Amino acid sequence: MDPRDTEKAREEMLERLLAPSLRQTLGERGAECPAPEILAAYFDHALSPTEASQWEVHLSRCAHCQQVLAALLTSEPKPTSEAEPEPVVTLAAKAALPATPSRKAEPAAETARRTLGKKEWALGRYLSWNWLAPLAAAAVAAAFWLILRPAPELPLRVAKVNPVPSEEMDREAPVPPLNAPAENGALPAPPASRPKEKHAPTSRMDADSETQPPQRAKGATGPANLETKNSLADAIRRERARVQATPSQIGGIAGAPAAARPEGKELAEQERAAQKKEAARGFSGGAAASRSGTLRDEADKRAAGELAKAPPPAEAPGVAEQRTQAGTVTVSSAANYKSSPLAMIASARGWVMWRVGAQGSIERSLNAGRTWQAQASKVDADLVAGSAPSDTVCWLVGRAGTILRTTDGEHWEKIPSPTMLDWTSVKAQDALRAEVSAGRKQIYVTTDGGQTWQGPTK
Amino acid sequence: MPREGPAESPTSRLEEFLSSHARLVEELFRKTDAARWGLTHARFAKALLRSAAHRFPEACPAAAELTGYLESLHLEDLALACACSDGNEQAWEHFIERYRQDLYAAARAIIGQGDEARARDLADSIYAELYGLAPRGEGAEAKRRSLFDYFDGRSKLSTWLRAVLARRHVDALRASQRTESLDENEEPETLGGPKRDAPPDPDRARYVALLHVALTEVLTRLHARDRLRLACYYVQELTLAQIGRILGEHEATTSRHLDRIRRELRQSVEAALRDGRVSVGGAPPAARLSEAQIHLCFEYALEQWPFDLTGALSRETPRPKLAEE
Repeated sequence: MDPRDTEKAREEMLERLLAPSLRQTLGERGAECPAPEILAAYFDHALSPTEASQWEVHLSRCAHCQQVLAALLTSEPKPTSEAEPEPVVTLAAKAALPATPSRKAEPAAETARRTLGKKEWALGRYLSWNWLAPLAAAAVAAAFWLILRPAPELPLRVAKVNPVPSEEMDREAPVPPLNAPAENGALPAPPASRPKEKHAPTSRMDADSETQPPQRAKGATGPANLETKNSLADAIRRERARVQATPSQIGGIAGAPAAARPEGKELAEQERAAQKKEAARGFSGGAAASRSGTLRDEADKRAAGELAKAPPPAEAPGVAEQRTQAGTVTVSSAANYKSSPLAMIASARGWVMWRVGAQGSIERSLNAGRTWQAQASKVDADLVAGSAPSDTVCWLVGRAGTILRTTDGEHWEKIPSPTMLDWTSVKAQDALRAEVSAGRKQIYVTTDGGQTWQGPTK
Repeated sequence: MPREGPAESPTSRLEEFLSSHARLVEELFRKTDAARWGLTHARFAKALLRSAAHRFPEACPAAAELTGYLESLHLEDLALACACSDGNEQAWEHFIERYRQDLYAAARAIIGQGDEARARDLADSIYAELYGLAPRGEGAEAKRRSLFDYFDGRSKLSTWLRAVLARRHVDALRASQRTESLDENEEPETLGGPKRDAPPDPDRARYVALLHVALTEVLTRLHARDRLRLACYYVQELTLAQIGRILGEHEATTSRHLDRIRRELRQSVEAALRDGRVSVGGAPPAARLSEAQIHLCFEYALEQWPFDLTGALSRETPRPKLAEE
């Protein structure tokens, strides 16, 4: 027999012997019994520790005083727990009488019931609210921490730019809020199948949570949002794990060993080529993307090696995330692209992304930003903003009236511009309908793919 | 303040203390607003003196300890009790308005919801003594004394009233149970251990006696608080939460303590039997028992408990051969 089983069996037998053995050791009421006031003070925990210990010696041996304490419990106005419905003292008095022929020993079934009840309680105590409440609070705190802590640098997921005050900026329109309605009614209403409130995912993280319930606006709190936040936190965790595992695959960070990448040799070669191109254009991955405008301008003129050697700067103040919205519009704000050579556009599903920058550079990713492929833009103007209503349709705008569009996701065509203004934003509904703007008072709308434009809207 | 000298009694020292600390008494008197019940300073000081004398019956404590004790008292309740004892009508009205329903509710809870008449009788009997209707003493020395005179302010007045009720009820209950037990001729029941059809073990009674003595000694040596936990759980059949309420600990703590106590009890009993340290009936300590014999001790005790220990002792004493078995 296992020694532990033996010990358990003996403890169970001993437990059944305890009640009759204890009764035989208990004394009856005598002169040494404390006055009711002492019992009341002990019950109120009003005695000093020393005095309480002294009286406990008597209480532990006196059945009468124990019964009085039990009766005090029964008569307490606000019971501390759900006491038994029957008076405790009645049961206790029957059990605590001195050993006489009439005294019944504790039935085995009763002992078993109490033992079982104790075991049930032992399980139940961990499931009670006393324990669940702090656990739930800790879980909520952990969820908040995961969501609100500073995210690791994933620069290509969003366009990070620095505000550069200029005369042109002063006259440009402020960035509309993410969930703000269209500035005017020029564009047709989005299809009913495309819910307005739903954020268009800008990354794999968002794509993972695309099927989740609509998320509350940033900063919103409350239990109703907890499930969404948890799923978001999971997505963040997965994303961070992915970033830590393969840092070079996000944004093409220079210096990462290509052999470690899971995409294979061909993909690694493509990435290397893309990195070289990035470096030549000042796209040295996350580091360059988060640099200040001044440094970035300098980097454009320097060699790629110099940029790669530069220490990664801290995130500049004023950097703002520009998220896509409702599968229609992406990225850059009017105040941003003047100083930013980089903008990123994600399609409605989030897996296909474009990033654009100086001198008409365009790159596309088919895997939510893990790898990028360069595309020919056929223009030299800086591209500053874009909108991708689908995986194959994307509109880009840039300086000097530059408007580009792709309808197959690969080939870009230049769209005739109504003016040679420096476009600051574009909102596209599909391949035919789009709205470009160069400030609040310079908004042009097309519904035929750019053949004709209506505007400017003032 | 120096401790009391050999020539002075504690009461006189307390009187001296209170007279020399009139400012403290005055402050306590003012704090409790005892004047609203018509109490005088002297009456209030007398109540303080009585309470301190009950708390420190043997020696007058240091000034700081005595001051701390007086300040820890439920002085408002003490003042109300004094006024009620003195027959102040305003105080009585306040007491009845404040505590009457609580007292009846407590009596109902103690007696049980099904016996309203007994509950009211119990509460009314307390009322009578609180008012001092029942004379205390006999003959010419009999005098009316209120039950309030026994309240020293060490607990809340409501708790004290419930304690008085509870003790009175327990006294009556135990007296009635004791009377009923004389009329009954029920056979004692066993604990429900497995009955054996095999021929009786000649050492059976000895094993049971050994276990009984070992267990009793271990229980006696238990720490008072642990023994109180065991008694509340196994004898009084209180719940873990109720035990925790009495002992001022969480029910989970009580549960852990009970687990520990059971484990230590088993280990102590086993060790006593294994080492041959159990002495039954003044005989020399018994021989050491093997693990199998120890297990038989537990099993036989379950089958035969409760048993007549004196009979077992008279029949035989532990045999030394056990040591070799």
